[in-house]
Amino acid sequence: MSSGILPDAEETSILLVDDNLMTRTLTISMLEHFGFRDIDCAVSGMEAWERIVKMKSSGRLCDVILLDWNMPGMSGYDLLRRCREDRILDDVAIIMLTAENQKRNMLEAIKAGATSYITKPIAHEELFAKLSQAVAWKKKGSHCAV
Amino acid sequence: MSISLRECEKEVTGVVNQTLKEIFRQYFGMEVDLEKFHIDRHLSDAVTSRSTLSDKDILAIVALSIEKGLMDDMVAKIFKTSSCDHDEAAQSCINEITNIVTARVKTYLNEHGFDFGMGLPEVVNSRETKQGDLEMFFRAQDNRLAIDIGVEKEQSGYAAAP
Repeated sequence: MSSGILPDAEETSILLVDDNLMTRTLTISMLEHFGFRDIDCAVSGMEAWERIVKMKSSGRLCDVILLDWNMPGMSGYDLLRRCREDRILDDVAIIMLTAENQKRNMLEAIKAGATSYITKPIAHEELFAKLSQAVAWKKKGSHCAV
Repeated sequence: MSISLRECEKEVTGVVNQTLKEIFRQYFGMEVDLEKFHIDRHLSDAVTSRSTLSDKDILAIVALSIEKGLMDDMVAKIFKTSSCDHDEAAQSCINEITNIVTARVKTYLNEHGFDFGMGLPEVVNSRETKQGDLEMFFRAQDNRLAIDIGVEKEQSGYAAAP
């Protein structure tokens, strides 16, 4: 892996939502390589929603969510819309992970409130860059699309 | 821009080849080069994952098969010393690769006038994809990896995009 440690990674908490074991394993390995230590996982949209509601009620929301688009049951897109409509994650960066690279999907995701978008297969450099931007915006107090 | 399925064949070949190269390079550190064949070439002792694309009266099936030895190598690269179940790990690998390849094919076709929706990939017992109107067979890694794509339209002849 060519990317180094991401500044502020140790203080940044991440929720990774993906139903695929290989993707979760690979992504966690990359995140740990970038210096992230507080990494939580959910294997479905519904599990992620329940985790988020609990976090909100305990006052300890994560800083960044990496969210797979295509999952059985509640899709990542549905979860994204629910979070933004409920305003439950106004201060949290949400980065969509998807195998589809159609411009129309990217626009749909940004319109629904995604901070940014990564196309699978997930490249180290792209994940590093998008997380850098998300962490930087988090410090400024905004999750505007990057 | 509207094109027929037959006209897509060459470009879809390129999309599949490029996507597989990316996946294997980034995830497994392996180089792959697909060869295209006009007939099926049997794979022995393989795991198969299948996904579908559908657009009104057109059904396409994408089936990825990986021979057990190659699959073991791939699982070892990702999961290293992990204690997770080997079969679960192998299925997740092959399903995700199928997912990405099918999604890229879908993207290409939808950018050329089609409106395919995509199903979730699943591990199956059969590599059967034969649908009749268009069939593509790809092989790599000394015939240890196979991607088969079969397309059928309800009426005879190839579909023209709306």
